[in-house]
Order: sequence, then structure tokens, then C-alpha cells
Amino acid sequence: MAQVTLSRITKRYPGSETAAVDDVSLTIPKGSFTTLLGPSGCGKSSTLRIVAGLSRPDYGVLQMDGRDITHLSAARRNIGMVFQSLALFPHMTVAENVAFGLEMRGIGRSERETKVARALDIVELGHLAARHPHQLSGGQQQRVALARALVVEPSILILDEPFSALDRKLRETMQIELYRITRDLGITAMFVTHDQEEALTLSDSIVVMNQGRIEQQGTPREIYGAPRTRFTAEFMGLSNFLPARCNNRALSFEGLTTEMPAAFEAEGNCTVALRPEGLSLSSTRPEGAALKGHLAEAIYQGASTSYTLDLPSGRRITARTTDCGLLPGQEAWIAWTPEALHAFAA
Amino acid sequence: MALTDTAPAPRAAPAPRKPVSPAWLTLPGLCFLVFVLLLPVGWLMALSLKPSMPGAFTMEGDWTIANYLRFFSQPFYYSTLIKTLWVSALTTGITAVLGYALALIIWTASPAKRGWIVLIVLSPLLVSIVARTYGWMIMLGDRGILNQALLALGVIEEPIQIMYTSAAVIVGLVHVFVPFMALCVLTSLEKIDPKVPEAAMTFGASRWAVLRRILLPLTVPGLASGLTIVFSLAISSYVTPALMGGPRSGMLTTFIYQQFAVTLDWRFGAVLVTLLLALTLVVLTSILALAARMTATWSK
Repeated sequence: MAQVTLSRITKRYPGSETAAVDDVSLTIPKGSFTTLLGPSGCGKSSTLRIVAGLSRPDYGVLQMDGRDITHLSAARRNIGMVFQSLALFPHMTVAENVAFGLEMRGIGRSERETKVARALDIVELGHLAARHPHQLSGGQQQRVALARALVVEPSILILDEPFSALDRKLRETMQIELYRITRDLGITAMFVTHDQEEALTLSDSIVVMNQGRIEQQGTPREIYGAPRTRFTAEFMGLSNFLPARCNNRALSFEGLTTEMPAAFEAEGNCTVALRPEGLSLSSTRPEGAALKGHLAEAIYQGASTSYTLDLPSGRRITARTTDCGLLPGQEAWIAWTPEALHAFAA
Repeated sequence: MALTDTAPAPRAAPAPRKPVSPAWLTLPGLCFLVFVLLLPVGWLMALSLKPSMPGAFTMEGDWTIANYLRFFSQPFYYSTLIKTLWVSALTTGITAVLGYALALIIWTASPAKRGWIVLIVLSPLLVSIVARTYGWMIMLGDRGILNQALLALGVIEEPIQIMYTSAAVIVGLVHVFVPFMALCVLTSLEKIDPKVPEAAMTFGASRWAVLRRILLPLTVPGLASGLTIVFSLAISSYVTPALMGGPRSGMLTTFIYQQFAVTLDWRFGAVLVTLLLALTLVVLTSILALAARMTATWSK
């Protein structure tokens, strides 16, 4: 296991105006599971390919345990990688696939066999060692790819959207399994995904990327609970963005003035977001800060009901809350828990 | 249809019409092949079993294997078979190496460059075989460009003979066959997920190991079709050996031409045709069987 540090990594593809990776600095501590999260084209995969050694940065330094590996070939970085397409070797059996990395490291046959058997046990595939990849199900192939990456005892395990091809149920099973295996073995891992739920489930640390830059980095709680930019907030499922003004720790929006969230510091124009799950509705004015709206739509969804309200300003707000018996056409007061209110500069 | 022991079919539900097998669609092509290929070749093979007689084009005479005994008892004859096999095998081998390298270059090139490379690769096929062969004669002759260049550089004292040797034949053949090989291998390469060689590299494989352990095994099907195409083209080529190998190229095809057009001994010529065909079939089936065995476990 190793600590990996990226310093000012920049990569521009030929013919492109903007940089795919733009001045990214980041540390993946030893034994941590770090996820690069962002929409497609945000530079997360390019960053991962640079760490893997499959692509060279134009600028910047990559270090592993303090050693400069910027110009070291992928073959000599001691990484274990799981590809989005899995990239299993179709002409080799499961055991040969897993043994490949050990063989390339010049490890002898008997030691190889022991390690392969152990790796296949970890992913519970020992009984399929003699099969070829095309004879396995999607989930089994996934496990082979993981075993193949783990068996070389990599300094860092790199996973490039490995679960995107699986159906939802299998994906959740594999996520839990990956979580268990990486924590059991204390593996340093770098994971790339565009799925915020997956990132929150698996990670010790999440790096949100946008247009080649790091938007925000923090623990899942920090990223979800205190997004610092509108981009991160939107990506984390926040909605109900309202223009606001900050003035001396007072926040005004939609004709209402309330106290600013503690974590937020700004002056002048800003944006407020209200998490739909943190809102509650009532027909009478509640205590504390609340907005009045006209209920336009109520859609029953089982565990919660989705309400759409029109504010006097003409803006719309969505609230997801337990059924409160209000019907479309009625007036309603919207209140929120302190955690549901977020504010960002501009 | 046997009516005695079958129960009468219920009238209400007529038996569904048996679908016509799509194999019948091959019938016109099959007829064509039988009449223009199998019948003439069969006739020629039968002719090889009649006593050798210049000027005799018909089936008269007793059945005999004398022509075959004559071929295999005289070194002058059977050495052509060995030489033909050797030149064809060498041509195929050199073409395989160059064609594979070319296929790798095309595979890894950017899409913009790709079209141009393919065009250049196919260029030998756009030139008439005679023009191309004479071009090589200008290059390789005793006073050709290559010899003059080597003389001028002082590498050699006097011209080396390249024209009218097997080397010239091989050069001429390889030049035309490389595109066939490259395109066959490329077809196989394109079926490989580009992440597969990348994955191998992340697991510590050098470029050479990626080629040997990943790309070569996965391109066996393309390589096999390239080898069979190039070998059958090489062993049956006539113009290039005739022009670049000279009148005594010692290749079976030029020998066959002599029997049919010069000495008019069709019956002995038919022996040569039969042997050439048999040799080709043996080599091709061996290549294909080997390839099938190598890919049996993983190709679907």
C-alpha cells in the first residue's frame, strides 16, 4: 500500500481548446478509498489514466510514497486496475487471467498458484478457476477482474467505473463486496464514477470534478451535507436553487430574511438551495423561517409524496415529505430543517 | 410417405409447412462451381493417369501411374516441388512478419492517419502485375538501382545477382501479398477491446509480452486466414516467378506452363497440377486445423 500524490497535474489533448485535467492537486492517503466523482467529460477518467501510467501529463508531478513516478511506465508502477469494460484476457482461463500479473513479475509457479487460489477465494470464485471469461456471468467476470487486480498486492488499486455495466441489484451487491474487501485488506484505492450514490457508499474521501478541475474534496458527509458550490450541490441531488443576498451574516431570499448557515461565509449575491427531503409543509404558519406558496402538484410515491409549489416570485420549489393531506390548489407554508438549507457564493 | 402404420393426421390442424432450408440458396453457386471448377479439375486429374504422350489431349489409353513414378524418380522433377514449397513458405513467412507489423501500425494509428496508411498499403494492388514486376526488375537488375547504389557506396565490388533468383521472386511476391496479410490480421485486431492490451501493461507486461501473450494468441484467426490466402496465392503465382525468376525459376507453375504450352504434354502437366493442388490442400488444412485447435477453448 502506498500514498499517491498528484501535484498540479495538467493534461491537454491535441486539438482540444480546454484542458482535460486542469491543475489537479490531490493526495490519496495510504489505505484510503478515494473516489473521483463527476459527469462524463469532467476529467476524472483522464486523471485516473495518468495515475495508472496509461497517459502522460503535460505538466505536474505524480508521486508514490514520495518517489516521483511521473515518467515511470504503467508496467512498473505496481498498480492493480479494474477497467470499465473489465478487459479480461478472453483466451485465458480465470486462473490464468489472475496469474498474469504475478507471471509478469517473475513469481514462480508454486507461489503463483497459492496466491491465485487465495485471490479467487476472496472473491468466492475458486470453483470456476478453469473456466474461460465468456463462460461466466457479468458479476462473475467482475469478480475475476477484481481478483486479477488484487492478487499482485498493488500499491494502489485503480477502478474505472467498474460497475456501470451491471444491473442495479448486482451493482449494489458488488459495491458492498468491494467495500468489504478493500477495508479488510486495507487497500489504497482510487475509484472513478459518475454515480453519486456509489461514491457515497464506497468512499472515505470524495473528489468532485468539473471541467478538469477539482470542485470540492471531502468525506461523503462533507460533500453531501455541506456542498460548497452549486455544481457539487446539484450533483449531490440538491435542487430548489433561489437567488439570495448575504449581508452581515443575514441571508435574504424570496422576501424572507434568516440567519446564515454557520459553514457559509460570503457577502453580496449568493444562491440558496433547499434539499427537497428536508422540507415540511403545513396549512398554518409554522414557527421560525418559512415561505408561503401555492400547491400546484402532489404526487404520491409511497414512502414520500412529491409536492410542487409556486412561490409568489413565480419560482417553483419541490418538497419530498411524508403525506400531509394538502391538496393542489391550496396555500401551504414551507419550513425546513437547519441541515436542508445550503448557501453558495453567486 | 409410409401410410400403413401411421395414424391419420387430424384434418382440423394441417401439419405446419416444413420451412425450406436456406442451404438451397447455395444451389446456383454450387452448380457454377461444379461445372467450371470441379469437372475440369477432375478431368485433368483423370488425364494424369493416362500414359504421357505429347499432343494427346483426350482420355484414350490405359490407366497408369507411370507419370507419377516418372515425377518422383527424377530429381529434376521433384526438386521443383521442394523448391516451390520452400519459396512459398518463405514468402508466406516474410509476408506474415511484415503484414503483422503493418496491421499493428494501422491499428494503433489515429483515425485520420489510418485511411492514408491503408491506401498506401493497398497501392501495390492498384498497379498491373506486369508493370509492377518490371518495376522490380529495374530496381533489382544487375545494372539496377539497388546494385548501382551499393556500388556507388562501395559496399560491393561488382554487381550481385538478384534478378532471376529465388530472392527476386520472393521480393516480388511479398510486395503484393503484404496487404492481404495486413488486412486479415487487422480484422482480428479490431475485435480486441483496446483496453485488453492496456490491462496487460498495467499488470507489468512489456510491449513484447503484450504482443506474445495477448495480441498474437487473439489474432490467430486473422493470422490463419492471412497465411492460407498468402500461401495459396504464392504457390500458384505464375507471372512473378516467370518474369523475375527467369525461364528456369524452378517453380511448379512455370513448369506446368511449359508442359501445357510448349511441350504440349498435357498428361504429364496434369500430374504437376494434381500435385500442386494436393500440396496446397495439405498445407491449408494443416494451418486451419492448427488455428482451430489453438482457439477452440475461447473463441465462440
